Amino acid sequence: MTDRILVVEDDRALGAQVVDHLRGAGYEPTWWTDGSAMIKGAPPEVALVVLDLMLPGVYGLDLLKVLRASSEVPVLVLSARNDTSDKVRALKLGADDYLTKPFWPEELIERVRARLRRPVMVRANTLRAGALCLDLASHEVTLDGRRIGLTRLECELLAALARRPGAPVTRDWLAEHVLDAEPESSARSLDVYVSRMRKKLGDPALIETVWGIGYRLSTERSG
Amino acid sequence: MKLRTRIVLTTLGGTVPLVAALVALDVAAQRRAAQRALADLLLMRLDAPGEQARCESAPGDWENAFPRFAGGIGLSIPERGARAPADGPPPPIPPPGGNHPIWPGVRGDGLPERPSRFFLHRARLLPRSPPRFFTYDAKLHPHAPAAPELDGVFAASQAVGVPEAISASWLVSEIRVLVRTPWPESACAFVLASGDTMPWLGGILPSTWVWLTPALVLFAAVLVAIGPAVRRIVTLTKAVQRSSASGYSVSVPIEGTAGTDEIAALARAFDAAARDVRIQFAERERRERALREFLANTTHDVMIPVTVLEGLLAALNASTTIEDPADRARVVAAMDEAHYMTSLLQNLAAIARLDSAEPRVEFGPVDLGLLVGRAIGRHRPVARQLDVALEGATPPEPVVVTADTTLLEQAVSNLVYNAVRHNRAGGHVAVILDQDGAQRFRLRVIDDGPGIAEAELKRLTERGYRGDEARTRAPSGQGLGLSIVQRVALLHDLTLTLRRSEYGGLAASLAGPLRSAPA
Repeated sequence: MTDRILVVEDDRALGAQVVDHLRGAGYEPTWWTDGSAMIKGAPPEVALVVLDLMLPGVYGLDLLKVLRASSEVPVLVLSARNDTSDKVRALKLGADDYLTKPFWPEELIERVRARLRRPVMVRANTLRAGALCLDLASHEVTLDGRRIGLTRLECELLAALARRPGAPVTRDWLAEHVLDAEPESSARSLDVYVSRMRKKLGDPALIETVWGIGYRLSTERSG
Repeated sequence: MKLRTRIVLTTLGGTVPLVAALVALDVAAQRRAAQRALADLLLMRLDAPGEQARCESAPGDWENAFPRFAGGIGLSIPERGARAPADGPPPPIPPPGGNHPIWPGVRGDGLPERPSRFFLHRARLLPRSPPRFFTYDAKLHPHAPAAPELDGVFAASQAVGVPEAISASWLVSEIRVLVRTPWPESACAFVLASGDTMPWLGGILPSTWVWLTPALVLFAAVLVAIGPAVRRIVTLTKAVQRSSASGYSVSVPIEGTAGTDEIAALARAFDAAARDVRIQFAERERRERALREFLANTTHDVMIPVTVLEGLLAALNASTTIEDPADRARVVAAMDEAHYMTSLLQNLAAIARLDSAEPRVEFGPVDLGLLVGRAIGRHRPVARQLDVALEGATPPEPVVVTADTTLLEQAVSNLVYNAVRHNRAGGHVAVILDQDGAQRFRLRVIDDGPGIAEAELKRLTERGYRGDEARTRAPSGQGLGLSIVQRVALLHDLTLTLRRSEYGGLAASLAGPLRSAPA
């Protein structure tokens, strides 16, 4: 399912580029060069709005106000003026995040993706992240439907990583919140647990080591 | 010294010596008058008939052997019957307790009565205690046991009947007058008259202190006159201080500006100066605002094409048609330069804000997790091209601080970019945000690049290390970025530490309090 994204950007070159990059990233962008359509009232059926603050005719913040009056759609604000009061006002009016120009296309895609990230399913003590499924009550773990025999502690470690797939988690946090021990003494045992889990999961790349930080659950399956 | 004190002291300094000089002059005049009166009395006695015989018959008691004395200078003669014959024996000493025979107001036993004011005033030229006469022979040997010792120095040159004042000190009221009698061969060759100057005032000045009244009145008048002047000066000082404290936005209001005296002129001068300062301030404010507007508009105008440029470069880099590795390297270098240029622009904008007269800082709740995400996202595309792994970890719960989001993001961005830029291919950068207990956060940026020399590290974190200096010292821009981090940290009350990381590179850390009450 592709997400529709509304881009409100007056600059022709930039607008075209943003639309291109969003399309390249697999989204379905709609591009408005001004906000008059929104003022006329027709809340767009989109998953996210990329809104430039400096628009001709109507001020971006006013547009945001109109939009927020009828919709809860996530709004990513673009600002060319690196000005605190603009950002503060935008966030107060209900913007979810902002991006200051200039930005790399990759940066924009990352912010959009962060907003549209599917929440991790947690239902009845079951946690799902990609092909991984964890039963937090019975400590049963399945990968691609295949049951993996993990100890209770290993299961909790995996769950800590799976709650935010792709995000690195520090060793200190894992030691403190999962191993429930002093960070210094548990650093080695953490490595031992992880290497044992990697073996059991059969996919060493699933739990990545992150330099200087700790571990993370990879969101890209190697196979 | 306060003005009032100074004026009082000056007045006293003028008045006191003047009064002292007057009193001294008066005392001198009084002494002279008393000596003359005493001498006159003595000479009159010596002139009386039969005195030589009276003296020679009882030289030790001549002073009590009173002559028949008629008339005289205001001297009362107590008893007419006490008159003695010219050559007869001396009359008896008047009984104690009665009036002194020749000295009014003094009892016969020589003890002074308590004189009335009236008497003091009337008899001011006369000594108050009775004069005493002591006789001496030619060799200045006294006859009476009570007579003071004299040495021969005076007597030698002294002419007959010319009184000589012998008085030691002005501090004692006693005066003495020595006279050579016309009977040099007798036992009474010299007579010493002794008396006192009491009252010691009254030669020139009135004998009561009433003459001091004008001086005291003058003194009081000075005090009364300076009171309002001093009050006005105090009021003026307060007005000027108020005006200065308000940045000269308040004028210097003075009651009595319409006056013509020096204080009113001073007040008007202050007011005029404050007005000038106000005008200067307003002008400077206007210029600064215009400059800020210009900078903001320019930045805005530049940032859009730069965004397009970055997009084009990214698209070029993503295209598969570049086969020559040198071309690929050029594209990456161009991306790197574009990125560096924009970071420089952002830093200059931040410096402009920090350097403006009053840094326009807008504190509010800032989600540090999101902020760190943006800072990493900003630099990750370039880090990837430079083959530097850039990763960040934030706690699952939001970490909210009170900050100016733009400045703090620029600071964090600078730390991250420094770590990426001063690294090598295959290097790593890790950004770790965590909570230190419940009240504080800690943000660490660590890398395994070559790091910074210890000495340079110390200099970079010096307080007051300014952007310009940083630019010339570290042309790579590292100094500028770090100086902004430092100033932002100072502004936000954050602790910035820079040290060598355990991986060899730099470990930078920002620590500070969490936002206490969720807004």
